[in-house]
Amino acid sequence: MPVNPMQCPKCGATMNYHAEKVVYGGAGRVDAELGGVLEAMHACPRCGHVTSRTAD
Amino acid sequence: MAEPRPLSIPVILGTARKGRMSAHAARLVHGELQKREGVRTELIDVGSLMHRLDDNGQGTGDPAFTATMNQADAIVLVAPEYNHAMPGLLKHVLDSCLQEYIHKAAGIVAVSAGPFGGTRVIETSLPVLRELGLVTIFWDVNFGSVGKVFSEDGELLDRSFVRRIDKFLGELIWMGKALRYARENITLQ
Repeated sequence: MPVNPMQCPKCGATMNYHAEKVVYGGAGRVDAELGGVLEAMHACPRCGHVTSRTAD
Repeated sequence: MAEPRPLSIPVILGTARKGRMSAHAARLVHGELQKREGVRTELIDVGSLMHRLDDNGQGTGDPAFTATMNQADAIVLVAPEYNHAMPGLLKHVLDSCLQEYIHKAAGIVAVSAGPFGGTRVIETSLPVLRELGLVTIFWDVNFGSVGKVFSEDGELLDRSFVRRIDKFLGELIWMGKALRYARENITLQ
């Protein structure tokens, strides 16, 4: 899991890291072993906002 | 203790064609969803969205649609069957989001002029929805021979669909609640 949990950009709560997905052709650092950008998905338990960033 | 957020379940009408019978189905399902306690819903018409056609993926999205998908806990797709598949416009709209869908529930309401009830659009949509990160439920609503199900002005002629929709929504809401809890509380190992 990410060393630094994300803070919700909408309400500031600590988000939950709940999924990863490889995005082929996506913007970001390509994971050489997986062949695409590994996106980490985060959801906010307070307001429900979801977002993603390149996995650590 | 704070009231839990209502479950957000938008209904997406997946065709913009003139004379679309799917609009009657979408309005019916949307109306039934509005009767559910603790659920917030809206009817989204893909024909009224502002999606770009000269870009791909998240570059094409209508910001309002993206915001609605971000807050959604589950979605209902009302999809007519065009040559065994969903309308191209609906696919284009769905492809405009990704992170917004992950670990969220999806149910399909299929509409067909013929007797097979849109079973082929359901079958061909499942791998698409899976790739988008949506979790499909095992209940569907099949409006086969839709011209006999609704009058021209949208009146429901076959009341058995109310019970079928009730069962479909029951499962969708259960899955929507379960996935919301998991998404917000269970951390990937």
